[in-house]
Amino acid sequence: MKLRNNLTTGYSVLLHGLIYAFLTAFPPILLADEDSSLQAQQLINDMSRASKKLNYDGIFVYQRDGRMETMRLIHKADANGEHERMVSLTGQTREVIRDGKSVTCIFPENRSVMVKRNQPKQFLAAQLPQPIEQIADFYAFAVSGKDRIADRITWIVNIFPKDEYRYGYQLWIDEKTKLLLKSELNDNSGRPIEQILFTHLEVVDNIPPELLKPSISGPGYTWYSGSAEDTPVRANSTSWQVTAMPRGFSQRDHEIQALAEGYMPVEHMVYSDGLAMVSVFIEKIDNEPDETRGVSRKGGVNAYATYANGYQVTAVGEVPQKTVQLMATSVVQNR
Amino acid sequence: MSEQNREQISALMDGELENGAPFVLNAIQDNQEFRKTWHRYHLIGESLRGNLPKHIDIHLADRIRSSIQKEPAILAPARNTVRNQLVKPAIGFAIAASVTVAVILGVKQSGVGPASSTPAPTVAAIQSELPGNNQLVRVTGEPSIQNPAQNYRATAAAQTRLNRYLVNHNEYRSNAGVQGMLPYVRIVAHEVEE
Repeated sequence: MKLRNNLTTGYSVLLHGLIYAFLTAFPPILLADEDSSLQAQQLINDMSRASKKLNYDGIFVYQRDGRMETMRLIHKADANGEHERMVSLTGQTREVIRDGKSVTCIFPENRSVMVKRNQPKQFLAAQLPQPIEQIADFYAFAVSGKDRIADRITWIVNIFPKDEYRYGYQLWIDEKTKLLLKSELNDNSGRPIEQILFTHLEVVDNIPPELLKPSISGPGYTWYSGSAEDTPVRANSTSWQVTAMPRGFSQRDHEIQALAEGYMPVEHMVYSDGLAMVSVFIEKIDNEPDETRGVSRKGGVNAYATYANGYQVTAVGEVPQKTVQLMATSVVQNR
Repeated sequence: MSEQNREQISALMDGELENGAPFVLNAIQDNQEFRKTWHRYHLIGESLRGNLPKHIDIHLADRIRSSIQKEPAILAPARNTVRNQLVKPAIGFAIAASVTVAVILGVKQSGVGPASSTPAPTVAAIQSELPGNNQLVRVTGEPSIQNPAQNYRATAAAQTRLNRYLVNHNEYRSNAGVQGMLPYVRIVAHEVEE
């Protein structure tokens, strides 16, 4: 390459300066591979537990597709389970409020509220704490050092996928509370698809109930709600089958339910490799829709929809496009 | 084009060209070989920094230039030379920034091109985006639908269905073991403006 040697001089001086400053402040922790992997898995397990058990209130930046927003996350855990409220601090005041009983999504821009009532899931109890060791066949783990996020010292944990059907993560986990303070979802070349970064986080003894109430008030909102009797039916047998999926994925749950009033019941099958998760939805549709077919994407979530014989099959998950496409197009109906 | 010219272009990009910036800038404007070298060097630089997307529309800048040439001229006052001296180090960056913008626009363009994806042949994927709310953004599909208005026509029912799916999926996601991301962030997040 006939480039001047110092073509990138300006950048490299800056970069080296930053690296030097950083290393001085936080010397890298060098561990044997196996130790590092075990430590990473332990930290991830600790993080999963801490995020559910603690009371906290924080502000974070969310970035995807070249766009940045800030949000507030309030989390409370008590005898009745988890309560959480996430609300956007930029743009319209969108909110998601969830507890053990329901998930409420508020979209002020079109004055609509979507409520999804939950049944307590067997799934939850059965899966926690996730035996993370089982997924080591499909991901590699490492602790790559320390950093400072939101004025807290964090471990940096890397999760590398071993094939191109999964995404990787880089996680910044608070040394003290084990809460997730920064996260990058990375594509196969290691480039971030989306990131969150807490700028402020407080762990508190008590969360006042008013902090978990929606900020909207007044009439004019349209409520899309599932009825309370909406008991999901656990499907024991089905005529539908996903016939192709990446190695390591297996079915974790299967239920049939009316997702919301006025809609046909939907079959929902959940597949996971222990880390990534793909939902396959099968819904009877009266008229062939031409809007939701093919690939869709929202941040790190890909969806793929196909339509056949009066049914729409949609695979949704935090996995590369090829994975949702593979799974959605492999669904067959046994007759 | 001499070796010295190439060095000048490279130095200009780094904001380190002591003298001759006007010469090089004029040459880039008038001389295709200069222009191509300029483009190539930026491409190399972006590649070294790992900034290159999958698809690049390398003719975008040419198209923009030719449309600008067709536009009526806008008369601007001549620049004061002292100011020019001060501004010089920023030139490389400013131009580099504009090239980067061109590259990003190029991606958007090629994003709907035939090479962008491999939709299953049995599925006629149709581009759909609703302005507004929480819909999944269609990123690929079969290229070029003749009536652009049709691209944006999407029934609320279909979009609501995807939202319901996403909420239901998240419900499992947030209950199941390892969580690398806050799942509901994608519901709270606003749409990326297209």
